[in-house]
Amino acid sequence: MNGGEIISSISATGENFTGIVNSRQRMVYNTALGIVQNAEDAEDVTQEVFIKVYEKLKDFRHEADLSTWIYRITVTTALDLEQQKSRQKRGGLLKRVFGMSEAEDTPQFDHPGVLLDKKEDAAVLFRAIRKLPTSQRVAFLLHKTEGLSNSEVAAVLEISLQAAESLQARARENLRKQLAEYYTKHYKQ
Amino acid sequence: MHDKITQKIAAVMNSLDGMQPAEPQPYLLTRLKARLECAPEQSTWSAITAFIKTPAVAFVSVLLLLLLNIAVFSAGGFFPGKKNISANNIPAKYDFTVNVSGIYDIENQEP
Repeated sequence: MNGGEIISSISATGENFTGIVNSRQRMVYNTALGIVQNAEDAEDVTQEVFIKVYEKLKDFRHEADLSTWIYRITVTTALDLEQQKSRQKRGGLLKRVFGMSEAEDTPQFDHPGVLLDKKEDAAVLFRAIRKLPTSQRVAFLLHKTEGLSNSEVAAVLEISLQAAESLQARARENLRKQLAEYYTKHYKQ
Repeated sequence: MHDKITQKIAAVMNSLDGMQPAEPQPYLLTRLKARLECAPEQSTWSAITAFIKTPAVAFVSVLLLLLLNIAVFSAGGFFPGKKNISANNIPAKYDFTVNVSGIYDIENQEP
């Protein structure tokens, strides 16, 4: 396989691989970053996603929009990596022996795109997002960070529009509950 | 106090508004090309080997082996003649008490 073949690989939509990577790398990276909350891991996920896109591009049909399809691959790949990492953490005997707490285990995530005066609040929100059930978390992030509408979220997650709306509502409710608990304990005047 | 917490929660919930997308590292396409060029071609044999190496296959194989062992031992198929051996059905040629003289009989032949 050479570079020429890679570039000339054309999808059913007529876009070539180079065009797909150039136009959607930011979308993939940001979606992955929201889920894994780590820049290096998001880079790995981005690469992995485009490898999968390249391998499956010739089989891609117009059943879904190309971006929706790539979003779906991104979400799955990011969640797989997260699951893999959490398994490694669970197996970390040394961490348990030395009694490393959950706070040490999950470092604060500082998203580079957040406005400067909102960074502290955003870090608290990202921490709360991480504790949401997976489907609520993905639905919330796709809507909030990627700006997808509920119908687009429904298409990515392959669920009904009502289910997507319900996930959003439950995600917000759970986040408010978590934040209320957090600020009841930690709020300073 | 309660109102302040409510306000703070609202501020946190809206903290991602106006967020700019983060920039991935440059030259992603070059890195992807390099990775695709280095990727080994997957043959049928490597696919079969990869399948055999999966934990599910190993677990099922061990389980089958154990079940086979249990089945063989419980059916007595491993030692087929064992159950039939008893003092009554030993052939006479193997009954040493009848056919072979003791060592004392051989040495003390003289009266």
